[in-house]
Amino acid sequence: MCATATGDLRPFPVTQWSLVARAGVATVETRRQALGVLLQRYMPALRAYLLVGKRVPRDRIEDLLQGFVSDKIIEQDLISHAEQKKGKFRNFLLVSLNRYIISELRREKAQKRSPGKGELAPLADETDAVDSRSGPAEHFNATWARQMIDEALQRMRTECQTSGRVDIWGVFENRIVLPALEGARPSEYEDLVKRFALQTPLQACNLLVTAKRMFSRMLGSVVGEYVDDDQMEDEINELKHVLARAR
Amino acid sequence: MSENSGNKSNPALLSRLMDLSGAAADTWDSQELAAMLRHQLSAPLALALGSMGAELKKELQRGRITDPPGSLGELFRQEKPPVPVLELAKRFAKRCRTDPESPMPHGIALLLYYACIVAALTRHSLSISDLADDSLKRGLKWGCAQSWVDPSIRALLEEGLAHLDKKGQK
Repeated sequence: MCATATGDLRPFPVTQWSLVARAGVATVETRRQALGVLLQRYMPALRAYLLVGKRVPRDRIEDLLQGFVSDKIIEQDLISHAEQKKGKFRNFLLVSLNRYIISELRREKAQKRSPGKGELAPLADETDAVDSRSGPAEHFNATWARQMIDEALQRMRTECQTSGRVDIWGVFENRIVLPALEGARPSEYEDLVKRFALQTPLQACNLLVTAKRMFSRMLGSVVGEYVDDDQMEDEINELKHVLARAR
Repeated sequence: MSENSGNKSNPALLSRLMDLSGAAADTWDSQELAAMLRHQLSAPLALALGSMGAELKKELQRGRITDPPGSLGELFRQEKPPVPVLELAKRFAKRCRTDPESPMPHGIALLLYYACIVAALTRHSLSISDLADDSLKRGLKWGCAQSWVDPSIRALLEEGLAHLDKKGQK
């Protein structure tokens, strides 16, 4: 991603683990930019994993994440060790974070810190294995899936605004997005007709179909930045099922 | 999206958002279908016919259609609706009905299809469809049973049923 003058993010014009690959290459500026985007993208999911999944005290989370970023991601160049063939990038990140937390816990135990000073609670399981169907990992995956949706929606809104198609975004937002994100009632047909001066039902329905296809394309572009094309459908289906199981 | 925005989110709807097909049918309730039908019946004819609007223009230029109704609603209210317009409207409705990619709600397309056939039958004693009488009767009964159908269209369908019943008694 590259930041525009307004701070909006535009996608890099590449696919296939593009962000991950760029974060692993040697060019400093390219790495910095790609890493910045990756961290911004993944941080909420990692934060949710620590808070809800691992029950890390809230006041320790930012320190731990900062430590993970500086010690593992930056100093030890973690991203460049991520290899596509070894599995999903998000699982790789989760395993890496889990290992980091465990090592921090052991370090603190060894230093014999007194209780009540933000010490990490013992982990129920001190192995670094992550069961992708376990509660904590599911929570991470659900947060990650929502992050993907959020990113795709932002890109779609930007494209609609840039191309002057506020009608496409407006119908989609009022009919689909707000009910899904905020539990709002879908805007009724007559409201949409008035708001967007729609001349026929076919025009309204066409806008909705166009919007859905556009969102699908944006979602593909977001997911395509960390999975290969031939894995995309499986990845999206998996995230879809994760959301369907979430409460 | 903030970490707290998930509190009100609907996981089932979020999951549907990720449907790769992107063209999954939207669900319109009966009140909205009624509003859509009213809108369709009152829209300018050329617009209401969608892609068939270009055909309408050609027919007007050829002189095959003169003095067309302003809308589909007007068409169905006429004593003698022009048959070429009924045929065009029927083709439009059939296309919407049979095309899996068509965004038009299936029920509205089907209703318009039957309305065109019945208007030709009752106003001109003309069949513009290959549908067998039994199939047409079933379709008209289905239309009459829908709560969202406009009263004037329901009256047209009932007229069609009466016509077919009378024909069946001969």
